[in-house]
Amino acid sequence: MSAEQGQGREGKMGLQMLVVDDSPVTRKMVRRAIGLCGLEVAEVHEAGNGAEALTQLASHRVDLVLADINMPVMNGVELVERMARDPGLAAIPVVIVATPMSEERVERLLDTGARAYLAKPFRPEALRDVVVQILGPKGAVHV
Amino acid sequence: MSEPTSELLSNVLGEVLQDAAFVFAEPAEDEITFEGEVLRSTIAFESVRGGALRLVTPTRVAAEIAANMLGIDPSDPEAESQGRAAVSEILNVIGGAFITRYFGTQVPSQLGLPVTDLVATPLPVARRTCAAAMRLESGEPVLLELDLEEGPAA
Amino acid sequence: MNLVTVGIGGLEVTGDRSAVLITHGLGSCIAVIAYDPFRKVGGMLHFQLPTSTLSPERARESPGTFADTGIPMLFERMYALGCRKPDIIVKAAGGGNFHGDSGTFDIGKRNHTMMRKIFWKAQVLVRAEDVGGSRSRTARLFVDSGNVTIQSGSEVAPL
Repeated sequence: MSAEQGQGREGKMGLQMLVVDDSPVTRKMVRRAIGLCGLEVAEVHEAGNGAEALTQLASHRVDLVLADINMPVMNGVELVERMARDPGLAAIPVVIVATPMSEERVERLLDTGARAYLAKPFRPEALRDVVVQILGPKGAVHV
Repeated sequence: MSEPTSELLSNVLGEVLQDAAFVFAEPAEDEITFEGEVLRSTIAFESVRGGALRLVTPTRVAAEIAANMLGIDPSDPEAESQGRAAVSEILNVIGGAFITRYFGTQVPSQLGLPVTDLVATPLPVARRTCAAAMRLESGEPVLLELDLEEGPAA
Repeated sequence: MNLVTVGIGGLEVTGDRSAVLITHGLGSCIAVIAYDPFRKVGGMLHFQLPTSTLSPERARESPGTFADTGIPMLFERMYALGCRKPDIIVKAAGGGNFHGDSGTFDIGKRNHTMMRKIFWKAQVLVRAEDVGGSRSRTARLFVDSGNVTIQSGSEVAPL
């Protein structure tokens, strides 16, 4: 883990997360669950759709994105694809948190670059397990 | 593909309310009625057949759902202010559960965005294929309706 | 070894490091097992029903019977022995369904749901759980180590 990893551009210690969902209730739930993961989280940013997420990603160095699929303006599939094509964003792990859907769509998301998929309604323990698996118990990004 | 049933809708609604909002609901043994204003949420879907799902809840139930999802007391003002958003999200989850349960996971499907409005009762009559009328432990009613388009001609 | 049996609707909390908390016959009931590894304090609750709302008198006589009265009491008893919530490791077992029940009659699932609701509101994550299915379970907590085992039939596995 590099000295820069875990530090946002603002120089804050701890992880920077981005939660992307058009539902304010779900954003609050994911934020709450992140707080229970036992990781040192400096800040949790929020976005209501993929386009807002890209704006946030341009302003903050984010360590993990948790994104829904079904959103207005830009959905989660396009967000994952755009991030995968951007050299500055491709390395940021994305966890999809979305309603159950076809197996084909899940496979496509994982092939495009999403690191994991959590079905709604998600258990906070399951979110913790996925986040810790990706970021490690001390916040190091595991490839 | 057999036609959807009220039992299927009841199972989906009951399971989602329990798993996502920690709320217990049972099929109503008598006719349910809504009074005052209620939240009515609609979500469209496309799959082998297209259609829409509609969820109707009293505002007090919406606040309880919001409180449980957020992990706060039902008396917290945020519970009431997030009731509409909570119902929208519950219908979103119901939509996904219905699609995978009825159409399966092997067919491409698309879910729209939920639209939730505060409406006055009595509710306007809407076309529906089947419905699930349920009651929470408190006795309050919840209604899930399915409007499924006709299938392709044989 | 000091074997401490937790009965149905029972709740025990101890700092005795020679103690093994044990509860049998977990069908639709759920055992909530709490352990503070820093203070070596262990607690176990064996609750039967999700809510006490319709049975306030019974809840007063036996708060451990219900999730909504038993779980808070379990934690209060842990706090009374100096434990802090962030340090407490929580595990759970039980919540089975033995008759193919659904809806109101799937008490096991309702017990599990109510437990999850209470922990979500309290911002407590469950470290591990062995719930559901149709196996009867016996849960043990070894206070000296914090190890938890779940037995079904002759099979014993760590949780």
